[in-house]
Amino acid sequence: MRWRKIRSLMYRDSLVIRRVSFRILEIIYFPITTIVIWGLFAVYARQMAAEAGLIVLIINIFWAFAHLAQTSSNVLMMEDIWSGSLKQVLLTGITEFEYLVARMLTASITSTFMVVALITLSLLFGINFFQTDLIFLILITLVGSMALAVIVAAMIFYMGREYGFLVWSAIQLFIMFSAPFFPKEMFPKAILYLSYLMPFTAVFEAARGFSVTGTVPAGLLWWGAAVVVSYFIISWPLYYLSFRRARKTGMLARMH
Amino acid sequence: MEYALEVKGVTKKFSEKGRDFYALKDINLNIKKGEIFGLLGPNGAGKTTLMNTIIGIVLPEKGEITILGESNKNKEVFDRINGISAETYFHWGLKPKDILRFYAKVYGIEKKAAENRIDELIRIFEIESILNSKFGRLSTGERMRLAFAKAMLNKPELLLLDEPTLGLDPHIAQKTRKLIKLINRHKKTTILLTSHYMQEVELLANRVAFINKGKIIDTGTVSKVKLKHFNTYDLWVKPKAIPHKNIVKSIGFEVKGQSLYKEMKTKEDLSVILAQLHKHGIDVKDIKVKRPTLEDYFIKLAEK
Repeated sequence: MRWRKIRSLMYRDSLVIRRVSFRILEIIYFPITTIVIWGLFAVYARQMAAEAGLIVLIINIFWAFAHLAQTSSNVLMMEDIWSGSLKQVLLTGITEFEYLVARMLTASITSTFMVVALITLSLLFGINFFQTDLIFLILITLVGSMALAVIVAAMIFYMGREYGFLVWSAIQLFIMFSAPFFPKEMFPKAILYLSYLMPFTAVFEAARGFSVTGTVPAGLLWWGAAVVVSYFIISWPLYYLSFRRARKTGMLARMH
Repeated sequence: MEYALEVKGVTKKFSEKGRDFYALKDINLNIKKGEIFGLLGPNGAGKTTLMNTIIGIVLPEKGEITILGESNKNKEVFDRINGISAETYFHWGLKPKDILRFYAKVYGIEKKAAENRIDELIRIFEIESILNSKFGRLSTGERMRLAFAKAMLNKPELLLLDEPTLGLDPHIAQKTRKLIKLINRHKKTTILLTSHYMQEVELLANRVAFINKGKIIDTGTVSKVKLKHFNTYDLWVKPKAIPHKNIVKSIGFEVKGQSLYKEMKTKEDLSVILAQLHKHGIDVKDIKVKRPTLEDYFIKLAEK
């Protein structure tokens, strides 16, 4: 082991942290959002200790599903950018729509497989999540994640490959304001209104309700569906506009 | 005449730090079917921007691009073209056959036909030995051969080659040039080749265009472009003994080191000059003629 080499690399890392702004964001962002989520849950769990374990489990399943569905769509895209093969793929005449839809379908298949595996494993703990209402919730989560994948893709084409960190970080913010482990009413008023507009608020609320009562109110399903469909509809024009801008500014060519 | 590629009045402006500059300014090009067309220019001249504009990755402010009679906005036409550049990369985790199968699928080649085509290309481009290696582990030369195999999958009618030999070892670069010739001759594929290696273009291209600072400066056959800009060439004569300077001057030569030098007009007859030397009793040991290359033209251009 050569300490000089290690020290040199550590020096380079410190330079990267100072020069690349998103590194600072990564260092601050994840700890803060995690603390907020679990801190609020701790407050809530004091009142509802009995179902707390079940709530943690079901929310974690939906969280992991939402996260995987969105990130795997975008990582597939980012891998083309990182490997420098995006230009070759686009040279085949694939449109921006086809390009992203293909990635979304692949991610939908892999993440649905994952969520089914998680729910099956829950049976081992004597918990049966195989219910019609939950299948609707899974569909809503999938549409919400796909809409976020389109928004993240739009942001990367708009801002450049150095913003690839959004692939993993963007959804965390949406999840935090979707009140995963606690009722949204625990938020201050301003954030509460914001929470109504978050893609997963209804999903998490319905999943928590299901843990306690074994049913999901239809109203929550409709609200959840309406929000994610709105996200989905809004996300595509954003993507088209930013892709067009990337072609105009030369950003797309620089991405390879 | 139907062209393989028509570029009409293409203008592209970029902004950098609040300052606008033209990457392409009113570019007009017509590339005939079956020819190799060389696009020459120094780094930053606009060659790659033009290539990117042709394939639709860069959106021009003005102008039209027609590929094989179709607008480049029509994505269907991309099934009939292909291209590679010095920076052709594929996913680092894929093996050559995975890559070729993926592109065969993209180009809509039926499974059995695709397998036959892939096997044929593997033989032509000599990539049998790397079939079990992932792309990330291939050498530059191996990557380039694979890239060429990929570029020929769909039997393109137009092939765009953006600096295909940049950064290659001389012997691999030479092999690549042979491949380009082979593709053009045997498959009658139209090739647009960008390069800043003058000799490469001179060797390969039927016609050339010079691009500098986003503008096409000259277009034509290699010989025409040379004739247009160079009506002279250099003649170096090494005599057994340097004659008296008055004699040298009288026959239009000058002494340079141990040689006699004369700038010859292209139309001047070399045998007449040799007879003149003999007449003045000058015994010639060696003669060297240096005709202008595109390189010289390029240097001349850069000096302007």
